[in-house]
Amino acid sequence: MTQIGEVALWVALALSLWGVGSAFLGGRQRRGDLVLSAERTVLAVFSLLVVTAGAIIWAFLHNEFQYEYVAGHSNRELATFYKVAGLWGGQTGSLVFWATLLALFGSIAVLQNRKRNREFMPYVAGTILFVLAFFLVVIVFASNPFKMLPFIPADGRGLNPQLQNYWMTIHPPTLYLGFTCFTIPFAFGVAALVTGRLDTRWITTTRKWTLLAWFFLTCGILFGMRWAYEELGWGGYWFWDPVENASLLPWLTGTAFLHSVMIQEKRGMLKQWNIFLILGTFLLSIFATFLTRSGLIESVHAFAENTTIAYIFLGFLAVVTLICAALVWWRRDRLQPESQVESWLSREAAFLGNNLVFVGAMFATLWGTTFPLISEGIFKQKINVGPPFYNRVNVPLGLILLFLLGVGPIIAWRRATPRNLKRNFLLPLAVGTVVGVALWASGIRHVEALLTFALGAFTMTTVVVEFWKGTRARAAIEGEGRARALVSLVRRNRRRYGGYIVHAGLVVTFMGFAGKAYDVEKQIALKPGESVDVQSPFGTSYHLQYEAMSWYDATNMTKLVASMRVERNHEPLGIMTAELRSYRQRQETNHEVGIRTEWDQDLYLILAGVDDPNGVIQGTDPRPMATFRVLINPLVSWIWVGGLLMAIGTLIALWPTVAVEPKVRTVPVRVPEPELVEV
Amino acid sequence: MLLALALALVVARPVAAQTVRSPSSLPHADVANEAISQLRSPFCPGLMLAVCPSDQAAALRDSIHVLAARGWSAHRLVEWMISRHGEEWRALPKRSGPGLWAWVIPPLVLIGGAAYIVGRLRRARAVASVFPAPSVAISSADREQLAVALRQWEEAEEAGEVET
Repeated sequence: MTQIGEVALWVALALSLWGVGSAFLGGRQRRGDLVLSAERTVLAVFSLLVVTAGAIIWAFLHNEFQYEYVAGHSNRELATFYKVAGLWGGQTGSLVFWATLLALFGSIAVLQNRKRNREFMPYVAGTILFVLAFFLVVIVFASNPFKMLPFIPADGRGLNPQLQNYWMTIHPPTLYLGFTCFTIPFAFGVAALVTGRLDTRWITTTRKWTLLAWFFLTCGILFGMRWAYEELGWGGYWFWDPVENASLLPWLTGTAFLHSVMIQEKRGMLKQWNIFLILGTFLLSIFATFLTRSGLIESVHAFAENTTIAYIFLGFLAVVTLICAALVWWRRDRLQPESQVESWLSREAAFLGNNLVFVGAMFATLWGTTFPLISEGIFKQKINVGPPFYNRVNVPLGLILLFLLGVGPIIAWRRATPRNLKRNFLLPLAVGTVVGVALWASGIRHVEALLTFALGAFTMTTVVVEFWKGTRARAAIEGEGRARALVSLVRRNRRRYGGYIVHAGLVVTFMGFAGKAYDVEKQIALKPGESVDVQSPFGTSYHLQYEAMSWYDATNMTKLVASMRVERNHEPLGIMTAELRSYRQRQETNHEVGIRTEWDQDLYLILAGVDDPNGVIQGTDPRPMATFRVLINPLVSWIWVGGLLMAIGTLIALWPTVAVEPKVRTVPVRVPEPELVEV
Repeated sequence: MLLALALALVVARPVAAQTVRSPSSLPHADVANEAISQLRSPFCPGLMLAVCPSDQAAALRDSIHVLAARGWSAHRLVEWMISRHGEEWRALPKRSGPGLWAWVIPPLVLIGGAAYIVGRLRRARAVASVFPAPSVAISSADREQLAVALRQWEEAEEAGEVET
């Protein structure tokens, strides 16, 4: 089976190289046979990559440790669940996985466009195959999953303990779905540049693809945050780690693109900017994969280290950047805007502002992420950039964004009149001000948190008012009940109201972030029977009593489990446990935290250390002293709720819209022909 | 308004708790925490000292708290730790020397980008005013019909009948 997988890999490489040539040649010479061949090549490469990925999973499931990749990322005791996830648990397999997903999306795009967008398709197929060919070259020549060891080990090294978590089985695939999905709008963007068809068609064609990519990337980032929160055992969910940053970069430009395409659709503006954004988003997706897999920059998430691959990726990034820059330069005349921003008080201006903030945040994050390399290269001194830097730079940008989140969707296109401004913004501004003043009066002095809540209230009010106005109008016009009117309102205009729900989700998430300002932490060494009291920022008092330490052998690991009896305001809540896991095969220790989630705060328990772990296991010291870190993390659950809202909103926007004729009477207006003036 | 008040009540609750001063809210603890928040942990690769779960990191945090209680400033505490463990554990680049570039470039790019966009849009508007679109005469009856149509459109838009 594995040999078939290896052969499939080589055939896929040869086919994709053929496909690149036939696609571009077919497009240039307008030869339908070559174009068809290229399109079928995408489908064939997908089938072959499925065979390759299947062969790798088969090798994992059958403990074929003669393969270096399997031996390095699995062992006999590893649960089947994680053996399947081993496909993306290491660098080599994850590259195969990346390529398979890209081939899948490429195949769907080819099948979707059998009868439409025919002038684009040679270059769309060619671009997808070009990216596939690059990945296949890397896989075959620099990171082959079928590379054999000179001997067959009795057992493998096992999977990295931090990856043995259920979020790990869904977080990387979701993130990769997002990265690869952005390749399709990128391919259409390249095709639009090559063909010179730079009107809105490539944008309307790829609108759903962009939304789908954004959906996957958003979910992937949130799953990663949840994984970090549960698995890394330090009490946080976002660390501004280089690999986390790498996933955020394409999300920022992708979000900017989602907004700026609306301006091109409505006003024919920002054509050049949209092309830059989609090209940049794709390049940043490749950069993210490079950063995760190269190990060039120190990261808690860098599970691989291969500088050869790093340089190949950098070369590919440079080549694609040059090609894209040349295409944009070639087509610069056709990328001129059809109209201008008429007023700074308009939706176009608000969207421009939001784009500037998104791209500014992207640049600041990219700059911080790469600064250790830049400083080492230029100043011969490695200067690290940690979370405080990103917070100082990005929090003000986030606050501006939160404000624009409320302004953008409801300010008028072209030019907002004083009446429009008053009608739309009076209530939201009043609510935002009331919240801000009330919080200030009640003693909240953390400026960023205060502004987040005030601006969040402003934006949330704009969303609620939009739903209210729409429902009321619909109920009046159609004679429907309020609930039914709300449902049909959303159903009739999924893109718009789905977008509002995404905005509401983002506001809730931002408020969850602001809760971080009130984190409480206590570290204490306790003997069984001793206890600790922790006061929550919401006035709740937690009493934790260390009951006992137990141990047991589980598949693949030995666990030390500390039990704590927990009371909240003197009311018993039950037992919480926190674990220290020793993974036998890799001889690594990992913290498994205890989390008790409530709507307003999380009680988070870490077993930081045990005085005599061997004594516990051998029974000589069954009641050891243990060190605990107890944290109270306010509003963390709001982040997950906000994320869920964002996902729901995106799915609503993605759902096919029912075509509805607008209920507007056609009014004949006599407009005289303008006189032609010779210039 | 109710939403605003509810939100204010929820978030205002932290203040009630803050009136009880725990040992960690003493001034020297704030100084120590400020210093700790600017340091990476030498004992947990990639993690900050503040969140590193290792025993050595806990001991280092304790030492910083002890020195802060003796009146050391956050800056002095950071430099003390860096002198013992090395420059690579500084999480916040210095605002002098090569570290200055980390701080200066992002705002410069943001301001430069904003200035470029504003300049370009002004130029485009200036060009548009030099070559205005041919004026179109609309009668008052047409204007009235347009106003009616726009009102109907606005109503339909609010009812979700048309996409904006």
